[in-house]
Amino acid sequence: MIIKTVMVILEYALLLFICAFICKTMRAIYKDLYNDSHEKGNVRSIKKVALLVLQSYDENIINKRVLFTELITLGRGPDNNIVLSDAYVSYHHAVISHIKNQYQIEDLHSRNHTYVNEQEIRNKSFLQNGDIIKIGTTVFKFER
Amino acid sequence: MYYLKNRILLLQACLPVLAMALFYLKDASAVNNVNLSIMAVSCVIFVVVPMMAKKFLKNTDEYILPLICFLCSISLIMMLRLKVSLFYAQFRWIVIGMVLMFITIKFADKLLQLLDYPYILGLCAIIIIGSVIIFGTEIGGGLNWIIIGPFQIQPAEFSKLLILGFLATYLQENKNMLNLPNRHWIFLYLPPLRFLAPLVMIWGIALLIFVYQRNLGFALLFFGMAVMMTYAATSNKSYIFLAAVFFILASIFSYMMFGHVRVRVEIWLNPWADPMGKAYQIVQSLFALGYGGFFGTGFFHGSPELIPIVYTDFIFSAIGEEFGFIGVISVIMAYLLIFFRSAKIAFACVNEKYKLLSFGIAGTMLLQAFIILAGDTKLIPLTGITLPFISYGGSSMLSEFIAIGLLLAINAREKNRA
Repeated sequence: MIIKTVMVILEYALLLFICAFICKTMRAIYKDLYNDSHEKGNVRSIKKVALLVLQSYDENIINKRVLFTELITLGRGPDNNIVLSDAYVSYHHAVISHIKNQYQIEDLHSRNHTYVNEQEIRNKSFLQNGDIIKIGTTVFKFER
Repeated sequence: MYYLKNRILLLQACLPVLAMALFYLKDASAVNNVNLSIMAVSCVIFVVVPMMAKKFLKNTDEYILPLICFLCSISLIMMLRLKVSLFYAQFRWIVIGMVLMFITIKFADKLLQLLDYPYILGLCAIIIIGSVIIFGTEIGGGLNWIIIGPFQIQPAEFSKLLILGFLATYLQENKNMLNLPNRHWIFLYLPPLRFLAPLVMIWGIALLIFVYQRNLGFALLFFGMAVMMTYAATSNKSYIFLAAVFFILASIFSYMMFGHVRVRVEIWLNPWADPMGKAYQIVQSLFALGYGGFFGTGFFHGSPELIPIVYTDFIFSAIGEEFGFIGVISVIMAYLLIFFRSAKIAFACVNEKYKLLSFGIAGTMLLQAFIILAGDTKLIPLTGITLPFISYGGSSMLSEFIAIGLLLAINAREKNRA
């Protein structure tokens, strides 16, 4: 009787070991893939985008490149990432942010508006590589 | 990189121990020192080999070897269950195979140089297959063995690797030619006939094996291999159409011409016409699978020995009977995971020859497993072929280990370059 019980237990143990090995291996492979894809995701967002200054009131910053990844704010106030001390620029003028692999420019209800490719943007607009952004007297080219 | 914990390796290495414990409980007198020492050594090997490979072969895939050790341990415990004398022999083949695998990895640079001479590889394959027709011995209704002294060799297993090498190089070199659509019939885009010749030749070899050696399994495998590799290299669906036409014509022709093919097809269509005679094997296999159910009958509690030649062609039915649906699904998952990791290796390759070769190795293994699994479950007519890493058989074991060695070596090479 005892021998029979032990045999049944061993048989189920055998089945369990087979099953457990495959499950654990699958889990490990899945985790591996998951980590890989997330690492790649990070690499993609680290890839920087840039604003190239084409024209400006200030001769010194022409042809300078401003690199950023997640968020950049533009305006006259000193707490912005790019400070434009230009009378035509509002205190908090515009913000460019990273949304799902795209870059979006948002006009923060500025007095003199923001122009993308010579068009006044209403509230928000997605940016493409090579778009020309005009804020006050300063003209940027968006590069990614 | 997520670390495959070493504890997981213990799981599959424990299988022989549990099986031996059951064997002991069943019949204490059958256990002797030889059995016990083989069991202990195989446990150590199944843990040490993957760990050693991870340690010494930097940059190789760390999942393929544990999965292969898992399949080998299933093979060992099934041999212990079915026929103890084959347990020793199978253990010997596994050890020799693993040694050969490491030798292949060590000398992979030299071996991969052979890829520069594709026609020599192809010629060797033809000579090997042809030699079977001349020197071969017939065993079990199929002429595919050569007997040299104490050894029986099935040369088709090794010529498989040569043909893979030939196809990889040939297709890589002539890829543009094969994709050149200068013959345009209705909806087919085909290259000039002389570029098609080697492919047609391989299909011809398959037919030759089929006719002279009565080995349907290998014929189907070689044919599938050529079609798969061609499509992988050119992504031109015309070849698949052409192959399908060729296949259908060949099937109809052989059905008309050869008695043994007709018998196979009749058994496949209606095994219940003659369940105690011609269809005995497949009917017993179906009973075994059905009797297994979800959890199986339990190790040593089924009766798989009723199936003739259960330890090679029908080992899958024995697994299905004793381990049930769970065991079967685990084995199939193991094959799929090996294929998945190998395909990942192929995608990572920069050199296109190696890319095709590693994909070919992976695909051939999966195709071989599919052909025999489908045969056992009566999805397609039964064709005698081995289940990679599980069936008893020296030639099959060795050639599969060499193939895996090449795969791992290619992986290490390509990663070192990057």
